[in-house]
Amino acid sequence: MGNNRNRAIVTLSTQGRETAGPMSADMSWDEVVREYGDRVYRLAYRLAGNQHDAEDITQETFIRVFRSLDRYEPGSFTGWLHRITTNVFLDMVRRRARIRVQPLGEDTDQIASGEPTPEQAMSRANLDPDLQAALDELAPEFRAAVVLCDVEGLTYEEVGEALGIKVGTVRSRIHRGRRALRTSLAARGMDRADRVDRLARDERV
Amino acid sequence: MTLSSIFAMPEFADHLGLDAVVAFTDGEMGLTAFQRAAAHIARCSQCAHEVDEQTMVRSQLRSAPCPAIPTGLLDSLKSIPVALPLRDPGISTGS
Repeated sequence: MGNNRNRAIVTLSTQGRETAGPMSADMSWDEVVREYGDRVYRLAYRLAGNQHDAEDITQETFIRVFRSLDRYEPGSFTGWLHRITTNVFLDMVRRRARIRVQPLGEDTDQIASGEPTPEQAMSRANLDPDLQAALDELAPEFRAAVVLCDVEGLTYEEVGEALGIKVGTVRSRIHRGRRALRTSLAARGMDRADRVDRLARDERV
Repeated sequence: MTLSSIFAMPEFADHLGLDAVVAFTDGEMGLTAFQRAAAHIARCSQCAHEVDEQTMVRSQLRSAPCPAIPTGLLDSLKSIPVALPLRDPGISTGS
């Protein structure tokens, strides 16, 4: 019964249009989630840098997708998803930036980017921790451009569409973003070597 | 045409601009511009280094592993149509 309902919704919202994207097929909501869930989550993870936020972003993205299925313009469905995911991420960042200006209340755990929780530490262990930390340091707009281009493999034009910026801006954000990552990674590498060095010295003493 | 005039590319007489460095790295250049840039890079270690730097970060990002979506989240995404009332009550959900 639930499946029928889902299928009806998706079909209804795309019927009577010349759909060229994956949505043209009679896809059930379940199928949409199965097909694109992983992809949205990975993008969200790279943008947010932790599992908790990545889950929130993914959830919010699919809610927005579901709510605006009737407004979906035939075209690249994945492009649409990229745009929504990135917007949800940037909205989240801006909301937090506003909150941060307020006096800190008790519920600051989610806002402060202090020590990672054990869960975050666990999930970060799967990744290159230096790389994710370097990404986290990038300003969100730059991070989004670099991640869309380098992780998702989008062209400059597609990145521009997702972020609502011109290709010239895309170029400069990617260039400067990568350069900042490189510097940050190099510093971390040296920092790590330095710590190992110190550790070795301390042990000798 | 002298040798020096061949190498004195009007767009990047001294070095590639930032735009050219990044576009070259990502193959986002027209063929002519790409060939010019390639010719410059072949004899300019500074620009070659900048392209290397961009390429290195890109491949590091591209090859980094990323966790898959948690199963619990996948399930809750699937239940969105059930959990969310449709905004427009006029839309029939089929019978």
